[in-house]
Amino acid sequence: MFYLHTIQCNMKRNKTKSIITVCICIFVFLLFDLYFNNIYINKIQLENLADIIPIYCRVTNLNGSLETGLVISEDLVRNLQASPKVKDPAFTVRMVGGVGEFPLDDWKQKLNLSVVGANTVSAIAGLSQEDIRVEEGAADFFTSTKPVCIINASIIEKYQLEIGDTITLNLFYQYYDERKELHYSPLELMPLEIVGAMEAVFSSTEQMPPDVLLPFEVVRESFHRREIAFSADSASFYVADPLQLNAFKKEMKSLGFLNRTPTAEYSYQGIALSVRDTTFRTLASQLRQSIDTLQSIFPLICIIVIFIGYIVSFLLISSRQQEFALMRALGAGRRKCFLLFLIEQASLIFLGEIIGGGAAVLLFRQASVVATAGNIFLFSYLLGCMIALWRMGKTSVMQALFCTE
Amino acid sequence: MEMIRAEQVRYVYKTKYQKVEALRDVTCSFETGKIYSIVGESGSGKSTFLSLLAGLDLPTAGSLCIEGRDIRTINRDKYRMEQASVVYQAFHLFPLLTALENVAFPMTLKGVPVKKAREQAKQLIKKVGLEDKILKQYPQMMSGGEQQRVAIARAMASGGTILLADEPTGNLDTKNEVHIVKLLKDLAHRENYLVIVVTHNRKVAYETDMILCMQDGALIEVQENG
Repeated sequence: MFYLHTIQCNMKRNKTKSIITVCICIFVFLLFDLYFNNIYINKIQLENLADIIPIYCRVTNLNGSLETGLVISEDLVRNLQASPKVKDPAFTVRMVGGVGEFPLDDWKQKLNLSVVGANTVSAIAGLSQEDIRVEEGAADFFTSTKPVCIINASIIEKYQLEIGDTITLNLFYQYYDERKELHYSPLELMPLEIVGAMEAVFSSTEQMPPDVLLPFEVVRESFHRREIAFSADSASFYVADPLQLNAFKKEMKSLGFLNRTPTAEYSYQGIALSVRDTTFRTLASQLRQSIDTLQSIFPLICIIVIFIGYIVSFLLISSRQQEFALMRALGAGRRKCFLLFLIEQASLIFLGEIIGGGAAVLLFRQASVVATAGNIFLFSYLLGCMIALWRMGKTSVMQALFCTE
Repeated sequence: MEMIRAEQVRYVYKTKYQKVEALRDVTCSFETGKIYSIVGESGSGKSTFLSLLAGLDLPTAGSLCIEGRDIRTINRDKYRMEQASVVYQAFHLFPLLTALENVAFPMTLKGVPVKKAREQAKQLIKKVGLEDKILKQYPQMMSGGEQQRVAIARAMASGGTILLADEPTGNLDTKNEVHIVKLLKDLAHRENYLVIVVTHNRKVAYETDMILCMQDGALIEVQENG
């Protein structure tokens, strides 16, 4: 009761000093919280960097000159699909085809359709989901294992077809011989249900979109049925966790990927990996550096807060040294006096922190950061205040109250 | 009745550059119901001796007994709170407390409820001859004499019987000086207090029952006033 009454009275009577203490606490706390918020924002930005700037990877030939028309072994395809460090893998397998059955000699006239097997729309350059119109129930076209296809709208018109019709395609796969010359060989005569149409979209930089799209797995199954070695034509994907880039690269190396060597001989073998991580790495290292710098000055920031707590408390309570000495002379123990002043100061600091915390939540909208900053601030500032009080407690009562002789 | 006994009391303190022997083998005793004065030149050790009597520090050597118990063995905070009070030349009232609150403070410090403490404080203020209008005044609004009376009332509020006064009339005019000395004498003779006054003022000293003369930290003469 004595403490409560005395502290309440002291606060009221030292109104100006109390208000100054609260205001300084609000100001210092806001700065302290700003520092914490900076670390927090940098960390969040680093965590979100992978979503904002995903690391795109593309399988190329050894000298890096070719990204499509490659021979990517099925083992590699399978390993990429199974790897947890790979996100959204996209594969294509490029073929040619003709409508209906025809003699092998007529291939030059009849093989007039460009056919691509793909496991996702993003695998096909120049084509987006908006360009494709599929019938109901065929939304999972790219992952389907049924013999279905999507055909270019102009081909549908040319052959007077409709969605839902079945078209029989004579598919030929392409391969390179030892002299790196392109050859076509029959794969399969495949009846395919037309489940959708796509608009012919021309891209200035990429290849022309195909005439016929098939699900990737349907093509692969066809290769297996015919016991022909399957290979993909292009492969691209994203790094699942860009913050674990080193682990990712190690895994890719274990899968058999080589580093691009610009001086290497031209080939069609898709065995090198182009990792487009420059922007990500630059930004991530900047953010990391920023976080490290901010975190490294944390002890210094705490010392500054302790120092501010000490200086402010010392300046504001040093004029009350006589009050302290008088209380001691009246019989209040050192501990009691110390506690009385400490509780008074702590209440003001806490009040300042609450107001500052409220303002910080309104400004930065990060209550958890404010709470963490609040605890550390309270501890540091109070420590400074305690040092000031401890110094004041060393005042000689005799010197403060008696006439100097 | 003997209340305080000092035996061969020595007090040495250190400054930055030297050791100062402020008290040298002071031996004397003080009885309740009497008023004592300690006189001497500046630096003779009067106030130092008073502060030791108030329990604000301990003698370097010798013994200082309060009611037969060595001051080293007693709780000095409790001693100041319950037995001995000090009145200062500069009054030393809490500047932000009213006269009533100043007098009530030692009682609230002891745990007396605020309301009760204020009631008792009112009576004490009346006892030292101050009017009710002073109750709500802050120290800076009062005259020196009024402040010193409030300080005496505050000293009485602790409920002890030892009143130590360091130059209580040093900042007062002659009229107020007479009032304060009379008040201190009354406390000793009527209320059975032990009053010890440190003073430069010979006139004040002659009003007391016993004069202790100090020089260079030593008690050189004890003179009883008729």
